[in-house]
Amino acid sequence: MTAATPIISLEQVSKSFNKSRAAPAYVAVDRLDLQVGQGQLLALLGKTGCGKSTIFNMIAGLTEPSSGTVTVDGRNPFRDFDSFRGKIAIVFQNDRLLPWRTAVQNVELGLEMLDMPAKQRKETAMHWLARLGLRGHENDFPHALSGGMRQRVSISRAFATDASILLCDEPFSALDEMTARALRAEFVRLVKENGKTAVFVTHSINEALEIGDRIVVLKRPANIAVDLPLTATTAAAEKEAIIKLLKPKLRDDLRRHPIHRGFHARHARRAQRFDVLVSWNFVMRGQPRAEVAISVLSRKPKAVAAIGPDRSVLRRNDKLVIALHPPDQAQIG
Amino acid sequence: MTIPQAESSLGTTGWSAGLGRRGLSYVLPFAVVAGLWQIASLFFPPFLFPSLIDVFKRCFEIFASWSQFSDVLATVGRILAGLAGAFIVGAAFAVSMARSRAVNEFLSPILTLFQGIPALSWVVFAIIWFHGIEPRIFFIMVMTTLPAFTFQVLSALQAMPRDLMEMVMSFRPTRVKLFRAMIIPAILPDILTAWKVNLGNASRVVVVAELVGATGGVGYELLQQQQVFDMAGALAWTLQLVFFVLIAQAVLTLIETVAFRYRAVSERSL
Repeated sequence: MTAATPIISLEQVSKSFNKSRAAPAYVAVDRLDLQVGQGQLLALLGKTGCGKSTIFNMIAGLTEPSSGTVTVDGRNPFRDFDSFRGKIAIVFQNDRLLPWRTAVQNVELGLEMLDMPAKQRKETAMHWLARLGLRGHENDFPHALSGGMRQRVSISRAFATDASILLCDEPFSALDEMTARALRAEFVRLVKENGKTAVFVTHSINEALEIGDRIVVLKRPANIAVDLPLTATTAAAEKEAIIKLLKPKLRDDLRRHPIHRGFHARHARRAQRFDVLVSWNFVMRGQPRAEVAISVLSRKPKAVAAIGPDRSVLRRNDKLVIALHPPDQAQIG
Repeated sequence: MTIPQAESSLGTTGWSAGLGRRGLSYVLPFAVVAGLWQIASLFFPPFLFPSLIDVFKRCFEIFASWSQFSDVLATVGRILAGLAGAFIVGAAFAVSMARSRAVNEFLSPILTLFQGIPALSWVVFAIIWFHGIEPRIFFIMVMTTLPAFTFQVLSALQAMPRDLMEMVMSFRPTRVKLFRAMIIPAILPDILTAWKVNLGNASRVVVVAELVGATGGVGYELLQQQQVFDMAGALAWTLQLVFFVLIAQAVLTLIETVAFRYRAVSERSL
């Protein structure tokens, strides 16, 4: 599924690494086709080691693909590296703050590269730190800040450059759930308010659901297993995508017979052997209406479904509230 | 929430007492050695163990007399020039070696070979190859400290945190900005350590170089004292060099204190 105006485009992209001359090349990404539309917030979801970060590095221009084409805004981010100065900003998995710089100096880093005058640079950095709740900590060195605060500085650093494309590599994975949740909400708000295009790499289904307009689930080596738009406005498309994953027989079940919970549990157990990673629980007005478990890491993406008593939920275009079921299966890998 | 800085529970009195204890523990070993020397001076002739009072008198004479003190300054100048030269060439080599595997494979064995050549051999080579005193000593100083500087800077460049480097590169810096924002601050601790280590080496080598191939400087003056069996003079000239090394080390420590104030201090450090 692609948006109308792709700003990031990967066509038949593969990336392999040679660990040694004797060993065969390790294929991290295998003929991946992926387009990200302008203003889209794409959550790239997959198991640890499935090639998410490699895709991320190729989009950022830090790594060159072994084959295929990566274009960002119509240009090659690796070869035209300097031309993307100020256009792509990255929030990394860990904060990656320069320890010899204070918080404000760290935020100023990207602005220095853009030759912004010192006074304006400092004002911009102070503005973003204040916006992310770090007023009063501008002159603290990273070692004096907590993990959450350091990650806020790192987000400020990315936003301060006003880049149109944001790449985020599991930026909240090292934080406690409460802090991560608050920062995720803040992140989504900032992305939307500032009209950014963002690619958000994660291995947490919860996080992908919370953040993404669209979720792309990767199998290993990295290629698309499932591609789901997840906005309330595209609920119909989402339903369609899920139904497409169902076996014909299950589709019939869906249409003809209400399916009870026991059925779901059986399939979930069976599906676990096939490495189920997404288990959906559709909820309307606080009541569970339908549940769909999708196994996407088996060789061929497939779904098993357990549909609640009111199957009409899959036919209506009402706003869907999506929750995970069961919660303890929310984490991949 | 900010992690609170460790607060000292010591008051002003406690702080000065602590400082006094530290000062005493620093001075005590020197005082013991000086005391033993002074006792020995009572039982041995002055050409073996001169009185420390004579030694300090000679030290003062050196300080007070410009013609003698200029020899000390000449030696200090030679040490600093040699170290600066070796550092500049070594840093350039190290950057080239870090950037190019071929350069690394070419230069590494040569520098390793240089490390194995004794300082005295370089003195002999310099006397044969160069006519002027200053080029000789500069050459000796550079050749004896170059491998250490090169390998230390190279090691610092190779040990730079890859994740921080990637982060800075993601902002697409120019080469100059990359050096200013990332590379220099990252390798500065190792550079200062290299200077500290090489300063000690250089102060030893310069004396050998001056002893054999110069007509001035601390090494040359030591030779003069040896010829007249003046132990007090030899000690006084040696102390000049020791003072310089101590002052230079203190300056480097001060730079470290200011430049590395960002480092976290654990209450349970080593």
